[in-house]
Amino acid sequence: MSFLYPLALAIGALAGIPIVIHLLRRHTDRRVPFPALRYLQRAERKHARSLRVRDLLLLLVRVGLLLLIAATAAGPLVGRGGASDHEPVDVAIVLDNSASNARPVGNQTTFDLLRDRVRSTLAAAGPADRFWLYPTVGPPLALATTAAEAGRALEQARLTDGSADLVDAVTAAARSLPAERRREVHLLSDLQASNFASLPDAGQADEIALLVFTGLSLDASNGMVGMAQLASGLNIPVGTQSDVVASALWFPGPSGRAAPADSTVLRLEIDGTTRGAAAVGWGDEAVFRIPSLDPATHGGRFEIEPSGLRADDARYFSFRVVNPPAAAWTGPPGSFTGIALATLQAGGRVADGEGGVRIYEAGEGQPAEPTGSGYLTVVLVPPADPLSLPRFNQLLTRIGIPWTLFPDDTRGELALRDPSGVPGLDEIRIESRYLMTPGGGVEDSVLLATGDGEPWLIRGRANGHTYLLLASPLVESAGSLAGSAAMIPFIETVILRWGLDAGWPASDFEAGLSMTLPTGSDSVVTPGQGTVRVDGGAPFTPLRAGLYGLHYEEEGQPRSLTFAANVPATESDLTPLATRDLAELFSGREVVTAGPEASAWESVIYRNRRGRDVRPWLVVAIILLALAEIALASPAPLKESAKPTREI
Amino acid sequence: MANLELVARGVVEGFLIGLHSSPYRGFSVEFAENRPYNPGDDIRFVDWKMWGRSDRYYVKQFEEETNLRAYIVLDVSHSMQWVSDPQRLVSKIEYARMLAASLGLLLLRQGDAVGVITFNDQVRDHLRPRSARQHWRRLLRVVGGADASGTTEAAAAIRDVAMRLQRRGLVILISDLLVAPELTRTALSYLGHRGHEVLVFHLMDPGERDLPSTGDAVYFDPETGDELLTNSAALRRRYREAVDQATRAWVLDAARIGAEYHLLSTDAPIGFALRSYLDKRAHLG
Repeated sequence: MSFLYPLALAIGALAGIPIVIHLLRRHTDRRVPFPALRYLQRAERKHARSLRVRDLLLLLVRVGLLLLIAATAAGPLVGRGGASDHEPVDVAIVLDNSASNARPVGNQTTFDLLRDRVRSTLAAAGPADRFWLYPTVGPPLALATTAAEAGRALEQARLTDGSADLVDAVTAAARSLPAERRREVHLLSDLQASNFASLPDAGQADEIALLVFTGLSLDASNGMVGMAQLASGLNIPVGTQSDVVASALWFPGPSGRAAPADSTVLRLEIDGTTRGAAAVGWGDEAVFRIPSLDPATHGGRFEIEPSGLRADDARYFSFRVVNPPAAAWTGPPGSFTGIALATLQAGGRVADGEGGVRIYEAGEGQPAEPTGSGYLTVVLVPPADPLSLPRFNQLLTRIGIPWTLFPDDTRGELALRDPSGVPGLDEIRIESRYLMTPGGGVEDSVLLATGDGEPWLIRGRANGHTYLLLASPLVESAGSLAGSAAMIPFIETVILRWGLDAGWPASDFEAGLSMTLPTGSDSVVTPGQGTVRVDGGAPFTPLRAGLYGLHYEEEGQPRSLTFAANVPATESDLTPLATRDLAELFSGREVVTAGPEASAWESVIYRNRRGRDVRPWLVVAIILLALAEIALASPAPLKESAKPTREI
Repeated sequence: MANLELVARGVVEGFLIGLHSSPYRGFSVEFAENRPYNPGDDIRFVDWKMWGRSDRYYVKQFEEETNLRAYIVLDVSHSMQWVSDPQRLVSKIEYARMLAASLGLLLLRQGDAVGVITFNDQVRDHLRPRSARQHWRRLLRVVGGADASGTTEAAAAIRDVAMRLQRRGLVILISDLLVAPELTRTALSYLGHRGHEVLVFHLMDPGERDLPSTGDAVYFDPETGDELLTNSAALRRRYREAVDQATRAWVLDAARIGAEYHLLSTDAPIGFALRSYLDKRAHLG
């Protein structure tokens, strides 16, 4: 037991007063003449015992009354109080609003349940408590505010289609709390295991307790649409058709629950019009043909039948239908590369001309460097003859490419790792290649690598141009690519996807992640048809999955485009983290888990409780004792006896 | 004393209407009638003239000059001085004086003889019964000059009255009865045996009937000096029971000896007490 105001206990010394009065009463100086003393004596003799009992009771009541008043003034706190009986505390609440919390629980979602727990936390707050409210996706909603303000901010919290990094969120929340008073971090989440991908910061060890709401027993099985992949990248030449690939995936969850059917219907919409549908087995891919469309950005959507998490039952993508890019080739006569380019030009997928992509295939009799009226991108193919390699390296140095190629003594065939959706490329075997060594400070991206991890196709920027550098010559002696059916799609991909500046957007986005809008951006139309004013170059976070419209200005002309945001794939695996793993994950911090009942949660929050404030009960006791004192001390009411006398 | 006279006169005036003369008939100077002689009659009152004319014995009867002899026995002990609320009430002795004066006047107006005895632990003053109108002045002097003091010994005063009343008469005891009860009852019983009518006015201050809540104090009897440390608030109900028990005992004893008992509160009008007297007087015929 403790006291709010211990000094007030001194009032208890007053309890001695009735005792002293009781003792001093025997020595009272008050003398009252009373002729009818005989009756008084008679009454006292007859009731002496009950009078003594009454006096003793009165003494006890008065002493008890004063002790109770002293105790009440001191504010006793008994036992472990309720959630509202605690010392002032700073609380950082991490509220998981990632996509996985959209799972239905009765008529609510898990997010609704988690928000209810936050409400109960705020309801038990004291006036001196301060709150920080961090949704896992999106900006903080409250910083060092009162419970009332945090409650209002809580009502602004919305479910998103983004993904959470709970370790990072907890660590950041703990760090945000000033070290001036007691602190707690509350984590309210479905505890999706994939959201604990980050490793905890080594500096997390502190006295801040992590209270985790647990026990949401939900079915973790889930079906999703796999990543939509455009065969020709985001840019499709006008007048041509292209393929898009999507898959249906099933996560059985820890219980191993099978899908309700062996397959699901995968449906494709483009610009709101259904363009195809197919029954797809779980884990299988389906290829859909995108029809010829007008030059513009277009939005597509794959959808499967509802399962588990609804948000990932659809996947969005955007692409541009563009005029065929100009491409030119310089290389040895009869080169497969030249043949492939001519085929693409004949098919209208690539235009013959300068100013676009220049493919330079090194070899005997070729100019020392790429020629022509100019290009945006140069594709550099090394010579088949290793003796010409020094000259090729000199070329690289001249045009500012920080890579050097060396002969490779490795014998045997090598496959390409992750061939990025280029049809047929996964069947290709590399027999001859050069080892590419970067210079200092190179940040180029490796587009393709061989199975042993060595870069095979590199993209970078040099002297205002984009360059693509291959590690193998495109000849039959260097591998199976040159003479295969994959050669033409490969060259098309090199030109259309990798060779051209992809423009904005270069890819689809993940919901919940911040992006930078292009210069000149004016407004964004969200999937819910709301319009958000934006500034070009400013960060923007798409919180929901879907197709967004961007209005912007280019060269003084208003333009618009479509971009897509999807639920991060990590959200689709709903497997929860085991509670024991929580403690291990945050081993430097006290981890307290409670749930799923609200009472369990309320019993653990606000760790530093003061005990239950019993003052209301003491006040009741004081009132009762005061009434008892009045009853004992007051003259007994006189009962009119039957008059035996003739009284006048 | 002038006040006492005025008050007593005012009180009594309203009670004299319709009263008959004294029923007691005795032997006096004024002839009333003859009646046949009965054995045992005093032969001094045989009417010899009637015997001469009728050869029968008749006894002469006379209208008695003073029909009723009454004694007012007034308690003037120290306890009679007490008053619980001096602002609102009169003391018992003041009340007793007014009552005695009023009764005296009433008796004299009826032609009765009235005397007074004041007492505390002994007889203090004695005024023989007279029926003359001017006797009331003497009675007022005795009653008005009676200061309350000393302890109480009612039995002696009552016995003294019994000695002085040769013929049967009326004894009116006015007292707070804070006396030795057994001795007093015995004395009153003796009066009854002697054929006297006894009327007891038990005066009680309202503060004696219902104990005031004065809290813890040493209560003492001003006559005896006895003390008691107690809390009046705690004893109030039980005190009332003790008072009721005592008055009930007086009622029973009075009934047993043929006396009439009236408990008189000093906040009650004196006229009520006179009414009680008149009832008693009417009863006497």
